[in-house]
Amino acid sequence: MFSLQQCSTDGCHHYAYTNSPHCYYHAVDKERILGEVRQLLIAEETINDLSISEAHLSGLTLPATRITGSNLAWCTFTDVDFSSSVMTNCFFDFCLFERCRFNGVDVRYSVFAGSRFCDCDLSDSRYIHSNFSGITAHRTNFSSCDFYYSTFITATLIDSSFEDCNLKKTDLRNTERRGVSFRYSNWQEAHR
Amino acid sequence: MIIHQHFSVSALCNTYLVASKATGEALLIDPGSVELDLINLIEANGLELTTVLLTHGHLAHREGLGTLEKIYDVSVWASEYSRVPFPFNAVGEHDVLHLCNMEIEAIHVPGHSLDSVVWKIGGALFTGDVLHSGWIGRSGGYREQALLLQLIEERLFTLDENTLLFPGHGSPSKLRIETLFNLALRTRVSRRAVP
Repeated sequence: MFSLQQCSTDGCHHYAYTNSPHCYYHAVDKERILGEVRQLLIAEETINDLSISEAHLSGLTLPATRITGSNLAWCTFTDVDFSSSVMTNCFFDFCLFERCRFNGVDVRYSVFAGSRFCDCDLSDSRYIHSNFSGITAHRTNFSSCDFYYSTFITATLIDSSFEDCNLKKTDLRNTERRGVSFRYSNWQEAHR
Repeated sequence: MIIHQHFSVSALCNTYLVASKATGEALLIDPGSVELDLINLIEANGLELTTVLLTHGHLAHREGLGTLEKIYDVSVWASEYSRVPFPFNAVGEHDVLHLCNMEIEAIHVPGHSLDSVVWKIGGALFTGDVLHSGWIGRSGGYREQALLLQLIEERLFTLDENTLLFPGHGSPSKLRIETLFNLALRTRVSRRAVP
């Protein structure tokens, strides 16, 4: 698990960047940190215990990376391809994902709550025991996914597709849905 | 700190394996059932399991303890209000334990059950059936539910909002996420807002 050490800047509650006293936002050498993280994401096949908040990462393709125990809350991801990655115990809460791809990913015990997905493709994947509470999804494809024991409480889903998904024990209560298709999904087995 | 989750298919509950990175000493929280995957998780990571923490005494959260004790020599810790049919070390309100090279605080939050304890280890809370992602634990009646809501607000929501949350069922979360999206707590806040 990433270090639960908080940023040493007064009043900042973000977790500190890996092996640093400050979070990314309050670090003096942001460019170096961003370069390090970009390199890590595109070159490493295994990433453990990474912690970076509020960074903007764009135009990356991850090489089927295995990410474990990491915190990337409040980050912005534009045109990032996470396809075929394996994520366990990762925190992507309150992130912005624009035109990102998560095809064939295996995600367990991870958190995307409060995030916004625009024109993203999350299809053909597993999101087991994962937290999508309060997300906003526009034109996003969630089809052919396994959402066993995942939660979408209070999510806003617009023009998005959940076709042919496993929704057993998926919590869809208080979701706002416009133009959402659940065709071929086991909608009856979800909490709603 | 190392945290691994294990989902017990038979008990449908989460078991957490928490270990010190420095020493490899490990503890299990809520061994709902002990399956080969869980043993492999302990052994493959070279961890030395010495301790079991129970969030409460319901069977689904402790059923694997008998099997576990045949394999490992563990000490069991639970609330002083627990009435489980085996010996354990009792913890009181806000007791702080030093086990497995970690500081562990017991926060008593009754409501789901009288003996419910939330274990705080570093910046992580192991909430059992007190607080889940999006909902709270079931209670025996409306008074217990009111007590549970009150104590969640007083004893958990006063902690840092970035505190990680690892519940007994469902997905992980953070306190900030529950403040914003938890259905039981949202209802309470909106009711309070009405003059």
